[in-house]
Amino acid sequence: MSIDFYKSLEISGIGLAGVFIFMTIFYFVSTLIDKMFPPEEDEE
Amino acid sequence: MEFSDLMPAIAGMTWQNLVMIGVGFTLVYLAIKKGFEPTLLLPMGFGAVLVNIPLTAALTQIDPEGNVVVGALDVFFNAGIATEVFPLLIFIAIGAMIDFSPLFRRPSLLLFGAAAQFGIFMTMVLAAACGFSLKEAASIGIIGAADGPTSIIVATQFAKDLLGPISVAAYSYMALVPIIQPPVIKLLTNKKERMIRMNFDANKKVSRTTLIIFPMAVTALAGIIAPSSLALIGFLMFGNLIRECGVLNSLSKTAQNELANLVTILLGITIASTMTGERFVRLDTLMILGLGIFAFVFDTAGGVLFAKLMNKFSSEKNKINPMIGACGISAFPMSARVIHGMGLKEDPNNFLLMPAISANVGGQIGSVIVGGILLMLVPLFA
Repeated sequence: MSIDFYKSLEISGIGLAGVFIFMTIFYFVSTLIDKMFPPEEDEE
Repeated sequence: MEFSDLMPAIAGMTWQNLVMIGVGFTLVYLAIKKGFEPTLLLPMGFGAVLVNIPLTAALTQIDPEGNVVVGALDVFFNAGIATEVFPLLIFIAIGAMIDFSPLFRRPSLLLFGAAAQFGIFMTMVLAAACGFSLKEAASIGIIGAADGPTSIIVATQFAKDLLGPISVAAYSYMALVPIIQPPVIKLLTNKKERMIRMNFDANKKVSRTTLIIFPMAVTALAGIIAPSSLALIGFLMFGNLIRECGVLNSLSKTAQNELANLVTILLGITIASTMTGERFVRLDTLMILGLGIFAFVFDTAGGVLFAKLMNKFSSEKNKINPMIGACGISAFPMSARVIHGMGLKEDPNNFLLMPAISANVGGQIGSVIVGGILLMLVPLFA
């Protein structure tokens, strides 16, 4: 296997972990924003 | 006077040009008759015919006196694709079309936007194993984003020569989601799993403030964590902010309609400028088209298997229908519709559309994030 193959494996590991970290952060952020600004408050 | 002087276009025609003219007509046929992504495939198909007629004035040529005559499509390419302006403008339009409120009804479905990007990385590894360079492999893998503009941006930066086949694969397979996803889902799930009814509050209200803050928060976070993703995610979220702010309705409608339509016309026909016979009719192209299918299959499998994994740790009340995992790709709203249809086939009273849309919206964010991650990581390793 070429060196690029091993590099692509490494990038895949980091990249997949990275996208999960991103989405987990977005999950917490969206939950937090939703809790901080409920629709009732908006209407007031 | 020789024949080539009288009919230079016919005399200069190669078999590769003829193949590409055939490909062009096929794309136009698929767009019109089969409805496969017609907004992109029709301009690309027509453009493929346009650029494969020898001495076409649409591409830059050298006249008999040796002067360079710049072709319109080359002007568009240098102005719109090489600079990434066209795909980024499309992102503004897409952002203005996306309603993020389904995400807030069950935010955990965002994670499928990560799981269903599995195919991108698997395909990148596979492409590297097939002998493509690291940058080419990343550009091929990103076909699995099921997101045309992201594929174009990554391919423009890493493998300009492969832009044509990558764009054709990305847009064609997006249209083929209803054919590609169901067999993979059926292979990985049983009937009982496909009949799971999900706990989803479709009537939950989301405040306007939340919808306004969300695009700004996502942009700021993405910028802090991965600045290279900022152009992609920033333009997407800017479009969404125009939609949600409530004071730019006219701009929002323009972005969703006129801007999207104008740039799509230019994008399609400009990408076709890379679809010349000598650049397209190669073994590489066939390999890219094959690897593109792998990307979509692995994406679907990644999403479905992740849903099954989540179910291992969920209470009976919060079980997820594993088919929803397949919606973590960016093909919006096609993937959600496919899953909704499959759910109804298994159980006519199981309405999966809303959770499917939530996961699908997560997929739109996830695909852009992966594009940014690849733009950041690949140069560090190449």
